[in-house]
Amino acid sequence: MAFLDRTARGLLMTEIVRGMWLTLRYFFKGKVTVNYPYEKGPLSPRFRGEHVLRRYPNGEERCIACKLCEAICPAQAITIEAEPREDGSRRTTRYDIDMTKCIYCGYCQEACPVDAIVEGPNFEFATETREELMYNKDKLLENGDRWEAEVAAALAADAPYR
Amino acid sequence: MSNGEAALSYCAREVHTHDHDRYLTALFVPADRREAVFALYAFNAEVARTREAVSEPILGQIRLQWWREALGGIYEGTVREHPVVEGLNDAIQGHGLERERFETLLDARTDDLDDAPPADLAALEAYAGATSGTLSAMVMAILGFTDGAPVRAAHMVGTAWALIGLMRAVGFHAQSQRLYLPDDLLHDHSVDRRALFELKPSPALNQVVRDVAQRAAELLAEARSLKGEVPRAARCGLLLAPLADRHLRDVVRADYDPFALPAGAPAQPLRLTWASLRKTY
Repeated sequence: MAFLDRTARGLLMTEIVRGMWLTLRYFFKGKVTVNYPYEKGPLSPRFRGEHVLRRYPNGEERCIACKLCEAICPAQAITIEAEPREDGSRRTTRYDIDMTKCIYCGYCQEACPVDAIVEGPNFEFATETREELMYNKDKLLENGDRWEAEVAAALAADAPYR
Repeated sequence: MSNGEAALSYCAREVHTHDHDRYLTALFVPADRREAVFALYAFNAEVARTREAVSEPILGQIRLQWWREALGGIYEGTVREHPVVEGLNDAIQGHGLERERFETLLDARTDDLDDAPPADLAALEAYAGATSGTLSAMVMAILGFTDGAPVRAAHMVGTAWALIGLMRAVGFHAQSQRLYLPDDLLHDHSVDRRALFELKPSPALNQVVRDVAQRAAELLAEARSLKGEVPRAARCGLLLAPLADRHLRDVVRADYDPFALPAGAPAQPLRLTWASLRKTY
């Protein structure tokens, strides 16, 4: 009987009709893919991407050159030099991150008491040369200005209860 | 950012984003004291998020140590350059806040880094008292009351607020395998911790939450029984109590199931205004 059953199904092409019906249903369903790079997938607020150095709303740099990030960095990718400014405030004169050494562990961000260095949501920073991955302070501050809104929102989303 | 927000100081804006309930209560503090209260609350917001901000206890200790040294600097006359530290400096110089209270608060926040649950209800209450209770007591000090009934009432209201907050946060903490429920109660009611960490509600868990919520309600009632001794000028420092009532009601309505609570309770400026006008709490 199994033979007859199989032959009848084969001759009537029910399998192919069922298969085509499934295909047709998916034709009308929503797309599950995104049109990268124009559309992007969702990111966790804890995503650790390219580093940024943030500023206060009044434009002053947050970083106070305490060097905790430099000390905690397991890959020793951060180099800081600091000296007091003319107005007496302590600020960095040099803040370099070697992005080829960085392992994106996020310890720098976690150790920073003033939330100055943060790993932002940007993951698209491929370069053509190795030298371009040696970030200096200007580059990091520029990143900070560019991603401030996203970074601030991510930090706020992390700790909703007091 | 709207124009209204741009007019706020950095500390006030931080409190507005990170601790909206306390921000609302701070608005009813007399204008000359308000900045100090904002600075204090901004400091609290900074240290309270330590556990959430770090993945290793040692990193949390680094952050808290920085704050310890920053506070030490204020008392010794070298103010670190940080808008919150500068705000705190004004508050401390202007209102003579005691250093011990800050130490209590920071020590309690250091305990946050250890994920073990508190041993019993008394330990949980002590933790809540050391963090939020101390904070409310310091607000009372800013209002000019440093001992007696106002401070005791503030401490109780702050403690109750923290207890209720912790009950509302059971699900949030369980996500990262942390427990702020008394260990002995969990044991007595034989709560399955693994199920809790998988965010599964259970009647046993509700029992534990009920015990803690009842203690919070007792504290609120106790604070209100002191009303006669609390001067009218101090009552604006106790406005967390009406907000706590509201959250407590939500917890009771959800039948003490921490996973069935409404996600975000709406802000209640009208209730606060009413309480403030009637000089009650």
